[in-house]
Amino acid sequence: MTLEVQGLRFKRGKLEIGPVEISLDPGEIISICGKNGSGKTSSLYAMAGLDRIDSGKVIIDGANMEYMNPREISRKIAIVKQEIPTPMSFTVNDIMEISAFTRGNDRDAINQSLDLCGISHLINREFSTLSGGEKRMVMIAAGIYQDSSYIFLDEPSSFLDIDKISTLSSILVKLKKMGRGIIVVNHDINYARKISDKIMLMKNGKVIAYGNTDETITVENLERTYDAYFDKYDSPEGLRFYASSSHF
Amino acid sequence: MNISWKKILKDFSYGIILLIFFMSIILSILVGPVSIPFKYVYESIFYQLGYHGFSIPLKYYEIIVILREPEIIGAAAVGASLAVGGAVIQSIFRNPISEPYITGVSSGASLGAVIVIVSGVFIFGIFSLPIFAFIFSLATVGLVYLLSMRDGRTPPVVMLLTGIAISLFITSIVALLLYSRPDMENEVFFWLLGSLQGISWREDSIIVPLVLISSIFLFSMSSELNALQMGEDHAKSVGVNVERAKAKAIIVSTIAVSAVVSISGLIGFVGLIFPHVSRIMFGGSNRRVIPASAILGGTFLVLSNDIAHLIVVGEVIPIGIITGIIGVPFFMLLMLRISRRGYYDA
Repeated sequence: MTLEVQGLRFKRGKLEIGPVEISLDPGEIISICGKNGSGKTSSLYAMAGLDRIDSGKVIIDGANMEYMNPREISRKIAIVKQEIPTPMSFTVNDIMEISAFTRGNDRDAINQSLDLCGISHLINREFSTLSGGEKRMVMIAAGIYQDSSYIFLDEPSSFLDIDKISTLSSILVKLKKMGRGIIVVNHDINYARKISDKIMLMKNGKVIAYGNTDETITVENLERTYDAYFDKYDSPEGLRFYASSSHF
Repeated sequence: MNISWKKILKDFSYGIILLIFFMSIILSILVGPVSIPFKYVYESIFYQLGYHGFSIPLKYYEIIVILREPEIIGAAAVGASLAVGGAVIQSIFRNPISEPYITGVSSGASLGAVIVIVSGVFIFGIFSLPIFAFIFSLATVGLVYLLSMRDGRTPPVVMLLTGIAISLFITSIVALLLYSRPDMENEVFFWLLGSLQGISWREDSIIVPLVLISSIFLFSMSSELNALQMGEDHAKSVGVNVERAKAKAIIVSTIAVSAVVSISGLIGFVGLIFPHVSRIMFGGSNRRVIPASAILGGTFLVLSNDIAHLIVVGEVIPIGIITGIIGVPFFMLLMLRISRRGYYDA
């Protein structure tokens, strides 16, 4: 039971992305970090089967994604996009129910997913009246309720208040314990370092480094990824990295 | 005890709108130049249902059964079809101001109708006009669909803009044809404004089953349509075969809307407004919006048809005029409501 991305290559606009290689096990968190426009989100979409790829393949639990229909893929991979959708007049419950498209709805499971994200009180609220952070949490809860083996999250911490970011961490840890394989596109390298088992660093569509978190997040790799001077220091929360200057 | 009228209203609102729908149908039978005692109305209905224990004067029975009933049933079917089509198109395009005509249904149908009227070619006998309108309508939507294809996908924005552009192009051709035959303007004008007059059981026998079947089919696609309303990527990620679902919904709704338009002419606003009214009353899930739109759209057109009969004694105003005149202020009120509750993010 593994999600294997092998030699994935594709073009988005003028940017040539890849080759991307990833191996995600159940209960594992991989973070993808890099500058804006480095191809992180595009890679995530391609791995989730949302966008076309030029070569390479994604093997999900032994099956090639190319030969799976959307229904089968959705049982394996849920993706929570960074953009918040703007549907016409849906309640939170309506949005949750959409995630169960391939199976019947289960009230208990809906409540559990909302509970995990700390938003069960919002179930009957109109989605468009929620705050940005609440909407984000609803989309994460909907992704969890989809009950797929793997879940991909694109910048899940955007729009979230600081206290909600720690909620997000605990959600990810719980999902990890539940045996879900998780890929997160992340801006914050220290946050990524704290939650991830593996890290992939990207720049201009190319993978700069990929591997175990401690081996991958080094001053040298970060400098190559972000074109900036980096430094590190020991903090009460462990080792922290920061960009000391943006001039390289 | 605290009685929540709002909740009671909500629990029974389906029943209420359905009751209003049937009442409007029955009461509309009374509307017309000849006044008919109400007792003959319900006796005629029972008679048609197989209970023959009444003596109804033949002249009343004929007016009710041959003249009025088919027009009212036709109005209900046309209204239902337009409103359901609107709900579907708004979901697919994720656009609150889209309506079933936007994909080229109306301009295509006009072209077909105008070709028949102006050229005088009646290869399908008296059904030439509706058949031409129907074929041209389907062909136009097909053309819009094909021209919107990008790498095997039809992005909603591309299709919306293509639909508008092609519609304008075809409308110009219609105008050109009219310009060439000014003597035919009156006849074409009436068709373009929309009219339910002269709908007989023969037309009903085609459109009523078609509208019923297509509406039930589209209702069965509620989950797909809900998912599409969240965006195509979201729909795909929850397991919807996006292009296939869109094609199915567009084809079925286009066939139904084209069929009713080919018989009624262009009736505006029903397809735009009633999906929104339904969303406000019942919430946004298409499981509730599609049936509610059908009932409300049907009721609205039945009542508008009554007004078309009543407003000028001895004449029937084209119903398209009525729906526009009632529709716009109604829509403005609705917009107040929408903006107040933050119905849309946009």
